[in-house]
Amino acid sequence: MKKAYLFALFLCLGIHSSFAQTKLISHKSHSGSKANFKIALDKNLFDLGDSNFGVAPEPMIQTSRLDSLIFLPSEGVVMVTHKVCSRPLEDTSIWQAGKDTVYNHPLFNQQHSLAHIQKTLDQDYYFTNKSKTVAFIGFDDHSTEKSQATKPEVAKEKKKEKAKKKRPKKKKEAKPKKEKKKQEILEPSTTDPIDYSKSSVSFLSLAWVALFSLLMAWTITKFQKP
Amino acid sequence: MKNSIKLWGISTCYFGLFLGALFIPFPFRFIPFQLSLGQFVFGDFLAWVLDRNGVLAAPEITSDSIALYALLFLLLLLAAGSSLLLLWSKKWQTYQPGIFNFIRTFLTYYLAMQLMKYGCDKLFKAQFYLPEPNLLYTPLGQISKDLLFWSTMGLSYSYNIFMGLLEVLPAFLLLFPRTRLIGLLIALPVLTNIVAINFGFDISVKVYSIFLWAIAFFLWSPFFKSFYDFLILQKPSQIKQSPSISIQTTWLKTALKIFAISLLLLESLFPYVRTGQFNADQSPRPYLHGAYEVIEVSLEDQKLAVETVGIQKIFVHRNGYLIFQNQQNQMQDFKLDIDLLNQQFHLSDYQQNQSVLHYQYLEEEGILFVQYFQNDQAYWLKTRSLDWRSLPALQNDFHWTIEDIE
Repeated sequence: MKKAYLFALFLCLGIHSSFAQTKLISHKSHSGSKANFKIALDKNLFDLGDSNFGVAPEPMIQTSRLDSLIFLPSEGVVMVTHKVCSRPLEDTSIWQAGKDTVYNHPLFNQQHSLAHIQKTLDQDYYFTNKSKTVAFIGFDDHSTEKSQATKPEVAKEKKKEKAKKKRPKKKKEAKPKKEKKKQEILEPSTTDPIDYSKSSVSFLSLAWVALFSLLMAWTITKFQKP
Repeated sequence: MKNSIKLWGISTCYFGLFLGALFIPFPFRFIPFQLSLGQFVFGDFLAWVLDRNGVLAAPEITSDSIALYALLFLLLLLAAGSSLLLLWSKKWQTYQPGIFNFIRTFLTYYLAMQLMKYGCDKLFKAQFYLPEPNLLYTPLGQISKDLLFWSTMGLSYSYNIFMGLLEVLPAFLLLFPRTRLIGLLIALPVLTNIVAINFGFDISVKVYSIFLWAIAFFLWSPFFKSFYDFLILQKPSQIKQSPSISIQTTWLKTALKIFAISLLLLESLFPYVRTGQFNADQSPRPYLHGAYEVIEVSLEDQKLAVETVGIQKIFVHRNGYLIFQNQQNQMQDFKLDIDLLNQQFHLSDYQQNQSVLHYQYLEEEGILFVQYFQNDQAYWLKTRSLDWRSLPALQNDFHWTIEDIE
């Protein structure tokens, strides 16, 4: 399994800042101090790389295609992805095409019907392909919706369980992310509907625009009076 | 000799602006290679030069970075050098008008695209966005003027539409030869205002806004004499259209034009059309997004005074940050990931240290419990969600008369 943050990534392939702003304003907007700006700039920390020249940012991952989801009862869900086209600047440390197993995923589990998963994939996820083209293996096609729990509801259910227990007295960790448990599901606390990951199939899109232009030009010339 | 110097100056302007448009890395959505082109061609060289001269520069060429200044200087040198070399070439005189026409047309479309992009970002509230709760609860005097300007602009939707239209309109007018001059006449004062704002409020898009202004001024400059004659000398004057690229094949010319306009529209509009979000202020906010006021502090089930830990408010930022505000209104921000199942906040600071805080959220009551560590003690902060959207700054008030004010 690659990074645990992969989970978050697949949840947020499109969840990206729509803020069109400069790097400095982006940093200051979350009350970042001047002293930390230089560190963030040098290390390209967090979402600083998304902002530049005050225009809407580019997504980190634009090329992910979800090929199949394989449900393994005891092991989780295997996601098979591949890259649609190569982009030289894409950060491969965040996401790489291939097979990845995800655990306790809030969507990819047997709690949801296949229809619900497909609908959510199309609506909220930003793979370049539609869910119809994804192969769902091991998912119960006929299962009814057992739970439509939204994020707060998931938290609420968990809260009830936790309420029975005593509040944790103390827990502070300073471990690197790699050492985190596999079962963790990390949800980035951002949701943003404006995303460009589906839009930028770049060269292919350009080719389509060129083709469209040629066709239009031909049509106009053809029907123009001599 | 005088003519040669003049021609050299003009050629330098043409090539300088053309190289700038080509190599200044700009995050286009549909022309992604442009972003990496400048970095690929000049990035290593610039890094080497800056490093040799002991200049500590940001690793990439970004807005108002030292690397961008260095890149522009290099491009200017290249433009001046190549113009000088071409002066000696006999063939240059043959090809020069065609090349200049091409560059002029290219710059016109480049300017139109940028005006359209920035205009649409304003129209759809993606540039000057609604201020985040952490800013709304920061005392005015503590916000730097660039962010203050940005946030103030974000408060008025109607003004954003006005500003957006002022940029979108000239962008459209620039696309057609007949309306190009009107487009330039609108674009020039708009860009002048933007340059003035960027300088006046220390917004770090100074170089690029000057660059766009320079393109607009350069495209308008051939008409300067006509305007001078008419407005100053008050003589009858005629405006001659600048020649554009001469392509003999009609269908090819039409195809290129359609291609350029389609690309321009896609670049500016596609993200908004695809998501159906035409007002970013209305877009759903992430889980727990908002402002929370500390109302209770406890340590091992013992209730303490709220001032004990010195935290007065907690904010969850839209871009995934957890921010603590202390009693002195100082802020401390952490990158935030939320583990929903285990109810944990995973925080990263700027030294990339990571820590985990437990939380509990009672949605109906709007109560958020957050762990807080101080002096090796694990406190629990009970916080109450604040209705930040009801703050006066966010009210859509409008009064024709002062008597209307209540």
